[in-house]
Amino acid sequence: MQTSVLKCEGLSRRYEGGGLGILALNGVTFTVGSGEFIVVLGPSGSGKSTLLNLLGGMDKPTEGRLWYGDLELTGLSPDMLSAYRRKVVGFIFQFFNLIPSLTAKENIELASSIVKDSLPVAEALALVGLPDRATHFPSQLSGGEQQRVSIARAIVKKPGLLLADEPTGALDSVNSVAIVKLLLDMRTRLGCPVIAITHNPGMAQVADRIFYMKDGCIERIENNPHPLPVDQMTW
Amino acid sequence: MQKLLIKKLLRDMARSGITYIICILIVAIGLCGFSVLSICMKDLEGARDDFFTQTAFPDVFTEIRDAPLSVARNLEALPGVLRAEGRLTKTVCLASAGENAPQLKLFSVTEGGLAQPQLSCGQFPDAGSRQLIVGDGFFKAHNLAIGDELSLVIEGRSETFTICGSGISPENIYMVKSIVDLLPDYYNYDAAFINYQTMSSLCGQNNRANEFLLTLLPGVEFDTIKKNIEDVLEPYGSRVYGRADQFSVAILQMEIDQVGRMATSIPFVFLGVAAVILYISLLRLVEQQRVQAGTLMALGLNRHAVLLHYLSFGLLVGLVGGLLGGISGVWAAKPLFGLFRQFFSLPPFNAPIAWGNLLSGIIMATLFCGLVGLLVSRRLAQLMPAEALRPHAPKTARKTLLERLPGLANIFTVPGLMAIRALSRNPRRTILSVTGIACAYMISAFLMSMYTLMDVFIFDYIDKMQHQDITVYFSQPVPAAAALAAVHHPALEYAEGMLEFPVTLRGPAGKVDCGVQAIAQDAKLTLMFDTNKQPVRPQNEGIVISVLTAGILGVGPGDMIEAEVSWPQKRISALPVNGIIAQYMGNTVYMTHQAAARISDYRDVYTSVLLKGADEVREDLVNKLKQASQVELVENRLARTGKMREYMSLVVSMMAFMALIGMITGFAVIYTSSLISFEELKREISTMMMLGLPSKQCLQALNVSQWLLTIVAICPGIALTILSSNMMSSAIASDMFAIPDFVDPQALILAIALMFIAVWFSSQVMLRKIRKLAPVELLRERE
Repeated sequence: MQTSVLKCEGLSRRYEGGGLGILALNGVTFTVGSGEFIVVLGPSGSGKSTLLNLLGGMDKPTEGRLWYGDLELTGLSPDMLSAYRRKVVGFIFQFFNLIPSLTAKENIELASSIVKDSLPVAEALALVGLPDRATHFPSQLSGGEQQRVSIARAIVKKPGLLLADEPTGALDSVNSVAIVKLLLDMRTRLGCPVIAITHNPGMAQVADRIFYMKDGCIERIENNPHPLPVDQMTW
Repeated sequence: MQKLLIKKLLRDMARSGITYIICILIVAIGLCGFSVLSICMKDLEGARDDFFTQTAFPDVFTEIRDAPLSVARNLEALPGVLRAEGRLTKTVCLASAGENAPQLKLFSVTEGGLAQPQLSCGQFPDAGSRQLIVGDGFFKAHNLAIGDELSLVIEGRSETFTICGSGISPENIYMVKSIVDLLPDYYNYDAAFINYQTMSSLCGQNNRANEFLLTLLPGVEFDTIKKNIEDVLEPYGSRVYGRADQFSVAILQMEIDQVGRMATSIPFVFLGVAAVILYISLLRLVEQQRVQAGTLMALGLNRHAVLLHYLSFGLLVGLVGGLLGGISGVWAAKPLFGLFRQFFSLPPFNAPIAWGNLLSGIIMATLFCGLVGLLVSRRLAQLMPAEALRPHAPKTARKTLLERLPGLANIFTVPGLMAIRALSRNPRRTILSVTGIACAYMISAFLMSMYTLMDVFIFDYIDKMQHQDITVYFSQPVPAAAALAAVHHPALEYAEGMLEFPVTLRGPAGKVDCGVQAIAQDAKLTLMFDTNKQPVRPQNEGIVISVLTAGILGVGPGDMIEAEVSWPQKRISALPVNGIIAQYMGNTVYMTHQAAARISDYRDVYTSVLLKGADEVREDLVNKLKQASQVELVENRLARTGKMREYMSLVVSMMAFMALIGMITGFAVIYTSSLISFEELKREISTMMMLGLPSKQCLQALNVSQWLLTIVAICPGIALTILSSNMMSSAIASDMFAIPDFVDPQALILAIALMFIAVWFSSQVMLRKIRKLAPVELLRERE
């Protein structure tokens, strides 16, 4: 059994607004071991993104507890949560969320500059296969290239946890497969758990575990004892 | 990280360059105004103090009829008095022929004495010689040179002097014959300085003085010693006043105070407008960059770093605007100070570069704009990253109040309705746009109104009040019959005698030193009107005072006031206020000859005669009068007001320039608001274009809102104009001038026209932008 990196107990998130309360996440409990590749599957509104936001310290649960290693995240101050995101979390977005006024290299530098022990930016770019696109602005890159930059920005900090919110959602199949491969490579290289949200069940074939979510709950967790190599994955 | 965020900041700003440039320029205008005016104020104070020291300028002035020079020793013996000197003064005219011969006020001087002129060239006159120093203004205006000869009419005789120098004393930096002249005219009136011995022998006043000057020991206040001085001079009928009340000094101080007040008011109007534009722009930026801010936080930047980043947009605008404005202000302050220096005939003053003003201006602008940035971005920085990364909930689209009004919705086309709904969707921006346009309207309307105010309340009033062609001033009170006989001419239409003497009035709110003009109750050449333009006539008991004097005394019609006359005998009387007239300059009050006789010992004497006559007799009369020994001055009213108008053209040009800046500011607000609406509605406009709507119709989605905003802004704009006018009236009011609470309706209409031109111009620019849109590409982009 791998060491537990993330642990959550009865994690819930309720949104209040317009006189209506919406329970986006309802008492989720699980643990994540180091180096695990977890795919979260579920329909829209099932609470996938909410879960990822809580794991990434980008939102606060309304109920339940959450730990990263020995550090309990619930109850941390906003500045402590910032420090957690800065030092631990690498986040990959569906729509890349690159800063449009910074070049690819500068987007990565922005992340590397806020941590002490980061990868060299050139190395991060090389790892994602874009060494020659450093000076391009996001608008000058294709969707796949932008997502690679986004991954490079996430890994340059040498994160302890890599979270990907529908990383292939805006990409075609060829680029999607390439991105999944990159995520797996990074998992191997950094040894950190990777949690990826997706609509596409194809990605589950390469995962160690699959979380099926519905109506804010984890409906079931499926272990995948024999994950497929990426090149055998059907998309 | 900071380096990258600065890069991001600069690139983001460059993408909306015009908006930020407009903000920077408006901040720069405001700061330039602040720097120019505050530096100017400092330099003026420096030049004045320097001038006082160099010319041994006295602390106390006294005016008397005639006294032995030795009285100065009695004054010197008073505790607190350091030095006292007597001197002679007399107004004379040039012996050249012509109706409007220039005049000089002669001051006797002794080398090393008090109130010496500071020489610009030449030397002091030798004792007993026929040499004189003329005022710098006169010297330049007449293109004179050292050694030139000048003939003056003194005691009815023509006396020739050699010019030995030109110079100026602080007492003569603002030489006007009377308060109603408003502006100096150095060609026609200036100071000249003659050795005491020469002057006293020419005037037949050896060892006599008609003025005493005193300097006080350090730390002695004028008010504590005034009574003692008055007691010493009581036998000679005196008017005693401190340095601060000396006319030139008071005018200069008033100007310095006004410059100071302007430095702390006008720039803030511009900073306010800049703040509105900046707020609107940053609000839009922050809305647009919500996801970027969320991403920065997701990467691990803490909320302070994110706040600082968005705050920096404001800080940078303020810093650049402040630098530009501050530097241009420092650069422009010298020429402006030069203009003031020239205007007040102050000697050169080498003020050091005002680093303090520059720095404080820059810091003020930076903090001010930073505050705007803080107000806009603080909510964003408080969001959790997950919340910032989620798109805004779609704004509600519902029928606006305007559309619900019966029949009104049918007036607008669909793009027009879109524009109206966009306004109601962004209430904060709508309110700010209205505020910005209202401020810009106020700047234009207020300045244009001020221009009219000058015309209506200064020139028109003088034209309505004064109907004489010539005023003949005597050097001393002359029996009425003799005065009228002296000015007699067979072709003269009308002559009215006038008696002028100083008086101190006291009321519940304060006291004021005034000049009484005693006239006939049925005077035809001096007419007076109240603020409702109704005629006011002095009664045989009582006094007519100006709005300005009434304000200082705190009295109204019918109230009793106290009048103190010092000459020929000191007398204190109580008298009623007959009426208050709409006179906003000077401290002249009016009485009938009978009323004047009740409060003073003047009986049946005139100090001047007002004359009305045909053009052809005027010159003849003037030449005759100039030779009369008791005649001090002969003044042509029309020539005087003509000169005033000429001088006022400079002020008018400055106001026109400021009104133009107001219009540009209005355009900037309207343009920025349109530009942001354009950015917001770009996709909707593209859709309309795809549907086949022509560009002009698509433009309605923008310009309907701009027209509405402008129309709505005009109401508060008018209110702001009236408010500013009232504030200006109370801020500018002094013992010598007041500005009535007046707003010119024409100025209000003209300002509306200027705002409409700005909207039209802005809509033309937007039309060009719409025509350049590529709808297909735009719609393909992810929102």
